[in-house]
Amino acid sequence: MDTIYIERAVKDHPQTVRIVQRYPDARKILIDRYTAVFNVNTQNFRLQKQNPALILAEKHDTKVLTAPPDYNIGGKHNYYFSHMMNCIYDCRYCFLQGMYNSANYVVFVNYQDFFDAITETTNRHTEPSWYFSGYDCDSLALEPVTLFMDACLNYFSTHAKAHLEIRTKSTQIRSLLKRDPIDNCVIAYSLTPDPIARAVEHKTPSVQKRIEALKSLSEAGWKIGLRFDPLLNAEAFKTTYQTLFDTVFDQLDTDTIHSVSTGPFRLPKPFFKKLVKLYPEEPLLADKFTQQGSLISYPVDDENDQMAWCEEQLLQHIDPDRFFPCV
Amino acid sequence: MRLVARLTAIAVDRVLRTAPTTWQPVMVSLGSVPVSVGISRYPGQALRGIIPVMLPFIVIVAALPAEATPLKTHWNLSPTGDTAYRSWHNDDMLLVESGIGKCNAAAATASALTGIINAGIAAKRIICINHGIGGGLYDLGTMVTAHAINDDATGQTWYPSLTFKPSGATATVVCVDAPASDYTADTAFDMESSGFYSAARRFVGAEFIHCFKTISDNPDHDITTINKARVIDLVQGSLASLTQSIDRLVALHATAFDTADIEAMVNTIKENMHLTRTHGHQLRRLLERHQALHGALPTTATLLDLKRASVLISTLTQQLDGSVPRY
Repeated sequence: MDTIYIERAVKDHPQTVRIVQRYPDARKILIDRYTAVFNVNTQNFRLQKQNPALILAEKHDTKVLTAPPDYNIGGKHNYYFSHMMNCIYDCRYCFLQGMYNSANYVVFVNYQDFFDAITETTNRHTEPSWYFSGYDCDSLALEPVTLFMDACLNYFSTHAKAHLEIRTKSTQIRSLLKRDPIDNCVIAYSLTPDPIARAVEHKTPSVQKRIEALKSLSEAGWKIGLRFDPLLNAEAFKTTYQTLFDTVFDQLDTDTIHSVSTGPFRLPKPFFKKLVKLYPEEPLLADKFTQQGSLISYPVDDENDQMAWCEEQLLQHIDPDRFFPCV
Repeated sequence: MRLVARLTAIAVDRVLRTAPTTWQPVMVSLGSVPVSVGISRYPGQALRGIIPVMLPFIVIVAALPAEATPLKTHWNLSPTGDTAYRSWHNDDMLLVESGIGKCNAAAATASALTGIINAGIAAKRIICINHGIGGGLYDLGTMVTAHAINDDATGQTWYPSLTFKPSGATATVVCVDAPASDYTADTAFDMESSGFYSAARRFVGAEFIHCFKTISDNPDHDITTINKARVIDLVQGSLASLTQSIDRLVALHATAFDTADIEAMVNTIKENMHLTRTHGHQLRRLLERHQALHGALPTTATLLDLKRASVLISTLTQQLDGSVPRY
């Protein structure tokens, strides 16, 4: 990180001071609002990804948002939040490339405001609420810098009615292994067949490393989740995914798995168009796609076949009550 | 500029390898200003038949004759004959002398960019630079790169995208309407940057618009002592830093996806078959998909055999829709 933009309002915030200290050689540039850097519309996400800057900002507006209707792992009230925008990984299918103008990382340092918003949301319901982290970023990838998840787990450890899913591809789990697991938290890993991951999930830990991280977490008593989302088309789809499922379930104790979910590859049309413009040479994006409403996806029949076949395979390993297709 | 020359040679060579042997490398000019490097089946003729090669074209805006002269000499630039703003060029660069002040800088920048874009140079090929003298708390002759540009009169601030690694220090460049000498840390004064930047960003991508200021006055060297000879000396002294930064921008530019081969093929088809604008867009994307899924473009002869645009589009679509990414 050779450039850090800092909102003037948070320049003396303890998280800002701590994070900035990690980068003594970085140039520090004071700004009024992160949007002046992040939202500029002539930026090139692909080029910026080569050398992203860090932006430290304050989250002003809504901190907790309602999750899409079918997005759940058994809970009735589902929400998501993002303490960060953008990701250190570079997955070619990622919707963030289509959503943001900039590849710079924005970290919102007012962590406590997120926790206050979660408390307020949880108190609206009598049943437990679920909170998904890792929607606009990878939950753990920048954890050594942000320490957000550490603070988050401190919060959730004292709020049993609020449940947390930490969605990640990162193997930065040292801080998790150092602490006692908490019952209302699931650490969920996104998994893609190894050959596909190698081709399209740039800068991510290998699938085997992710499985090893899952194993370590489960042995330490953490609830773990498997997320086969998005399902990506390939020449030998069934063989490729069968190998992944066999590899995963050979190494993990299925009793320790809290939930397994699948999801199709779908993107809003403007996001998809932007991805194609950024990466016209990408085979993943050169496949056959159709428009369903405002979304671009694989043809409906193909998508249904992929989802159904994966469900059939996964239910050979886990109980139906732990399987959640997110469509 | 050696890098630009090398890239030019590589790109032209690459296109020529796929083109008929009778085609020739050409330079397209607008008046006496070269605007495009390409290959043509009609050497020496107008734009029709020219295949653009995705090379950077560098536009430098300098305010004063003394700031422009060392650049003109260094790159061996020839006069363009433009009467509105004095300007000079070589194969891959245009140098414009704007005159003093942000209004002049904005007008000269817009005029130069409009001219070369209208003449056929795609905006995505342009690297746009403002180089000149400025005052600040730096050693005399130091070249600083603007990490922020602040218009002193309006308070508006822009943040150039530092995706490339600038050579040397970076600073907030404060654009003033009259010479100023109340120097502060990490800041340089100039009189053109905000006009230049606000005009250039209407044409060129954020990663490729930058301001470089060579320090001409500081507390030890009063602003009133600046004269033409000193400016020439200072600009000459900063040429190594300027060249290094330009080389880095050119290297960054080279990482963008190069569409030259595809454009060449679309142009060839256009010359032999009636293509509507929509057909052109469809064909361009189909060729990108072909390259992504099969690792190569189809041969021109195969496409021309299909005779009609609608048949060509439907045949290619059908063929590609039956292809699946291989991992």
